[in-house]
Amino acid sequence: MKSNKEKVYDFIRLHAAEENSEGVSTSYIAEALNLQRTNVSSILNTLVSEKRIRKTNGRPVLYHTKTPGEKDADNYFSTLIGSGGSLKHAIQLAKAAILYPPRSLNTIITGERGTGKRHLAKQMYQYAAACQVLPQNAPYVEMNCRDYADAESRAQTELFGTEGNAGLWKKAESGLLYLDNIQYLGGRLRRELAERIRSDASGIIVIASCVEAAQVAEEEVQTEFPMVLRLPSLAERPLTERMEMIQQLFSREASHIGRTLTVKEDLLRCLLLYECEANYHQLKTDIRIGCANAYVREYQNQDVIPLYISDFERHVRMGMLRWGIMGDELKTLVPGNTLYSFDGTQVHVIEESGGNIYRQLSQKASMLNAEGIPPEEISAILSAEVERSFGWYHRELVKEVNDREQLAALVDQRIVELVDSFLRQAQEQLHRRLDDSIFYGLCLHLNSLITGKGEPRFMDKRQIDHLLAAHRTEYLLCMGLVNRLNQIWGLELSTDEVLLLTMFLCHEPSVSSQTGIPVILFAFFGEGIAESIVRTIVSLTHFKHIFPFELPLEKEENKIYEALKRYIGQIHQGGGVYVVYDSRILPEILDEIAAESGILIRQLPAPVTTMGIELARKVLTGADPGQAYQDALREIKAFAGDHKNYIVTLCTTGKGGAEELKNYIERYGMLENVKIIPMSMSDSAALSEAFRRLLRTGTIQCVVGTYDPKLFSIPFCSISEVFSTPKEQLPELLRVRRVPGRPLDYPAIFDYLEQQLKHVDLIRLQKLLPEVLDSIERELKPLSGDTQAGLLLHLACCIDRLKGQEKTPVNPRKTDILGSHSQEFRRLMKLLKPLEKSFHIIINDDEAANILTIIYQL
Amino acid sequence: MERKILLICAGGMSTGILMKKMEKYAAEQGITLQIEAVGMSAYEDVCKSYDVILLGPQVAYKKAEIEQVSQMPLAVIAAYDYAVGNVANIMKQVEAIYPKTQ
Repeated sequence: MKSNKEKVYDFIRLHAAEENSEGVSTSYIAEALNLQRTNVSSILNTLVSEKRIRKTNGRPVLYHTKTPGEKDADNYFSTLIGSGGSLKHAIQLAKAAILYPPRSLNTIITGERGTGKRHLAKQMYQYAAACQVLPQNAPYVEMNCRDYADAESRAQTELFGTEGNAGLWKKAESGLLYLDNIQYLGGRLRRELAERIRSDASGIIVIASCVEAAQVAEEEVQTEFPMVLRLPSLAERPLTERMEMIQQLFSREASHIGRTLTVKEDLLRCLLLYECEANYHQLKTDIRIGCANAYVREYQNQDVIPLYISDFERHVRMGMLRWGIMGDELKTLVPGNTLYSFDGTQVHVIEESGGNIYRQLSQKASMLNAEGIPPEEISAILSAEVERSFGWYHRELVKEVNDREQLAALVDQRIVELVDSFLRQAQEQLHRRLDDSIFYGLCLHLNSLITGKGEPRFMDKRQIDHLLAAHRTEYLLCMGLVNRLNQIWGLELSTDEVLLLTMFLCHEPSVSSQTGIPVILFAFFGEGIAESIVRTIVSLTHFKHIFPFELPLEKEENKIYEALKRYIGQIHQGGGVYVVYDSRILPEILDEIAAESGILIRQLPAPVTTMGIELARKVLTGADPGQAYQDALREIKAFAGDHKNYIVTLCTTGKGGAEELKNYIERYGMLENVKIIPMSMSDSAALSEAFRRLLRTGTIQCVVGTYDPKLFSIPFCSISEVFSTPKEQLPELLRVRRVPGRPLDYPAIFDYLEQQLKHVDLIRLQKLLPEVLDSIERELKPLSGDTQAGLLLHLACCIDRLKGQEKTPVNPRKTDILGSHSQEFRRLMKLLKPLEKSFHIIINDDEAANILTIIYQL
Repeated sequence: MERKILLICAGGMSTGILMKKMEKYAAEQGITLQIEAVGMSAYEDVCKSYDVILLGPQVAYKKAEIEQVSQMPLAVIAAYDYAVGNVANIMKQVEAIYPKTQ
């Protein structure tokens, strides 16, 4: 534990590093550190006498760590983050400018907004004072030229004064004048400034700032500012420095609020990566806003205030989208499962060890206890915690264990056997299947109990009541298990412990990487189109998670990319995004966003505008109307691309099993339009990535394999299910459409037709006929196997003889049939259109009547 | 051996291609085949010249009616055999119903 003296010293030192800090008062320190004022006062006196801090003259007395004097001059600037890194060069130049004999060099500091130009100017002033370049009590005067941007005469008055009224220049004589944003100073004033600098005899140092040196390129001014320093933007500085800034800012906020702030690694990563337009300044503001939000939320909280990503502004949260880019560097800097705690003077990094749920809970309980929170409240807090932690605890437990072999290495064989028989009994009584991960989890949990790694535990009374009421059978089952544990290991378990066991049986393990609800995004050209579509859908369905995005007509791709990426990041709720779009450039952009952000994006092209444009162009250029129509149709098809159906066969042990499974399904499944992808992966992250790739181009209908990866809510079939299902039911099992025209052996049929038919292109026929037959079944009437075979041959012959201009058999009942089935006749002719077009034939009424006769058995 | 077979389908054309294949098959097997393919509207006039009737599967639903009208042995060609033109199988069907008196 740090002594109060050190705490006070650290506190003062921290504040000394802060911009504008003149030091801190006794009462401020006492309040912030929650110490007695008298104690603080005596500590301060000791520190002053030890010359570790210095106090100001005047009321109230302020304490500061800066002790001017030549021996300390070298340490100047060292409190600046990056003084040994990205700012090293700038600081060297700054020192050189001040020390340059015979009098300091006037300096221009350049850098983007919020990079700390003003802060550096002040540091230079202090350094000049410390090195006695400036006399004791030399004035420091600053003027922000932007405030006088369009008011040259006011600027003139302000800077150079009027008769009888001294301007800032005069006030700054023999001191330092800082002119912020000098680019806003008019040319005439700049020339006057240059003149004054040349004729100055007081030894004034002038420092000016602007965003880029080019903004003050006028020669007469530049010669008066020989030194140019450039401060790097936040993005140009290394992540480690940004990390330092963030920690310093949190420490400061913690001491302002007087509470300990805790920050999880995910938030820290966001803060490290989000786009900080106004650099450090923005970082500071954003952190302050986040802390303020958390403070409001938790103001009743006595000590620790946890900060969540949700406390921060949306643009901060967008940092999440860039996690992927930084990769390893980020992980080294901010490892997973870490909690940073800031108590105003120190930063503690706590690794959240996964293994022990109890230790965490007992820690929390004793902490709450120490704060004088009533026991009922503690247990309420804890029960919520138990529920939340259980899922996590369970996940952590089973993370490393995928099979019994691994388990056996970790756990006493007797436990494995006990749990095995216990779960079998439980499955019988509960009439439901218990996931394997429950088996693993329970084994590991019991193991930690028996080996004495468990600690006293807590559960709220309401939690107990709830569990007992809702899961009585599970509870009783567990009592049985507890008895066995007692017999074998002499283990005594409390009610809470039994309840925890019960939770294993009630727990639905979820491994899904995407939880949250999927959202829908409409990305369309044109003003308000996406928005009105969304409005219509919302009003019809009351589905709220649907968003419009208006694609600008002329913007370049990377601008659309940036905007869309931002927007998707904002609307994403963890369940992926469906994007309905009508622009050709979007598929690539969406792919890239998906890759970068890790968000699952499913694309649905709806090329309304593109098609309209094509049609309009065709009409304008006087194209053949029929052709234009064909082209438009083709356009739609091309746009939709080929959306694929996949089935993934999955084995843990090797690709061989997955291949076998694939062959079996391909051979017997009679599945229409589906690609079977064998995979062998046990690494969930790699698998998830592989799935994501497939999902970009199609739908994964189901996963068949040895285990359910539980990814993206894709249905799962176990291998045994596949083999035990009759072959003709495979399509239903695998959720894929069956090949149409069921029992027909097309290759053999078309072989036969090839021998017999003279006029028709068999390849085309083989492609079209099954489709037409299928459409007839779909739209007119399901057909028996007899009718299918007959109709297929009939149609083939019909086309052949029409092609060969042979005589059509007259159907004497034609008039009757077409009259009584006029509806069906019309629909049939529509379904036969593809044949007519493709073979350039016209199916006459006699033929149509014959076909209707067959279909409707007239 | 002589066989007289009448094929019936909706328009007489799809059985027409079967007819050709059966003629070829009969020639190879040394069978004297008298065969004709007709549509449903035309069978009444010609059926008397044949010994058996084979129906295309697509007109199987007419079996009872045709049986009644023609009073002749009759079979519906199995869908699969019909679709691929498996004449050997079809001939087996013919043999099964062929009048034995001859």
